[in-house]
Amino acid sequence: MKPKAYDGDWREILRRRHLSPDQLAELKSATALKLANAPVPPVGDPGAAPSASLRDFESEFDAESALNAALDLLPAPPSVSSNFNARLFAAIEADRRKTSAVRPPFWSRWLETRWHRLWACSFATVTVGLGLWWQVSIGQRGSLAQSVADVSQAASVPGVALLRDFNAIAALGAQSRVQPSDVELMAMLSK
Amino acid sequence: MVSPSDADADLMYRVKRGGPDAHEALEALVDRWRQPVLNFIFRSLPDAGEAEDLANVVFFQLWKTAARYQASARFSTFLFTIARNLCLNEIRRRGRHPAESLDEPHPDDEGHPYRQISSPDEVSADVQLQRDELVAKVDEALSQLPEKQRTALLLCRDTDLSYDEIAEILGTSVQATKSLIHRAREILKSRLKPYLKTGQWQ
Repeated sequence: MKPKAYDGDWREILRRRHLSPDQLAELKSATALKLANAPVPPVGDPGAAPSASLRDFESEFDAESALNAALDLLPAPPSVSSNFNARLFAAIEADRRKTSAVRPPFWSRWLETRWHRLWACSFATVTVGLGLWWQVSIGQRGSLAQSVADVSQAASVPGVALLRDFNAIAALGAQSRVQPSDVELMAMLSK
Repeated sequence: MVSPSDADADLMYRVKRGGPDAHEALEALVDRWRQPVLNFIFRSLPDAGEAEDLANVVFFQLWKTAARYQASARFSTFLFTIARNLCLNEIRRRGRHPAESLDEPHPDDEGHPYRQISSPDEVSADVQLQRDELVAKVDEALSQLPEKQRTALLLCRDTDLSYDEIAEILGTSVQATKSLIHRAREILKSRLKPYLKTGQWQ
């Protein structure tokens, strides 16, 4: 790769481009020429004198190129293996299958929404309330039916007038009780 | 904002939308970016086998996070951010559970080089030994750099990403990124000074 022009910062070029030895030499001479033709720096700045600046440039340039050469010696990254894509898509497919296998049922996913949860809670509360109300009303209707049945049975009982001689009847009942001696007599007669 | 001509962003949107052509779009992205991603990971974790496994995980994560993709940055930034985060996780994991590397020299075998470098050109044993030693030192110096400096240096050197993109991956400004690269190179130069000859390695 040949740099089209060495008008940029030489450090930048060295950092971002892989230059051949010829290109390096060309870049170095071009930059040195530019530095040599640069205007003389103001008096009182000995560090920036042309000769010193050229020497600094040369040592810095050499150090930068040497570092690049050292970095270039690092082992080249391996090429991607031929089954790279196949492995990737197998992993994606496996993940897709796993995800669909453990997919929660519809109602579980539906309940993930806040409003859906609220709606479900309200529905459950109303259902339980209606159930309770139904049970209570059934119980009430049952007890009412029982009382009606009791009342209807009470209608067949003899009238109150019959109870007028209750004590006399009770006394008759007491007298008419079967005596044990009568039972024995009946038993003998039956033989 | 990304220009409409960012073909990678278009492909990523096709992956995001799902459907029958999502697979094709992902494959096109993988074909285009797998080698740069592998290069970056290999430089961060120099282990060819693990680097490839991790590169595979990078694209798997890309597929998993496709639904969250927004073209607020270039696709390469998004991809290398995933790669960097996975490298960081791996480095942390290795810190917690250090494993003995087969590449590193055994304590009983001090003179053995870190890594066997196969050289295509025939060189003398002395030169090869020196070269191996330099490679081991460069590798060591590189791995001792702070993570941000190393990542900035590697992204600048081994990819075509602009400073803007590198800055976005690192979460810093462009100026800070340039400074990180400069400092990384200065540290490497000072650490490798005894091994570097002027202009070239001899």
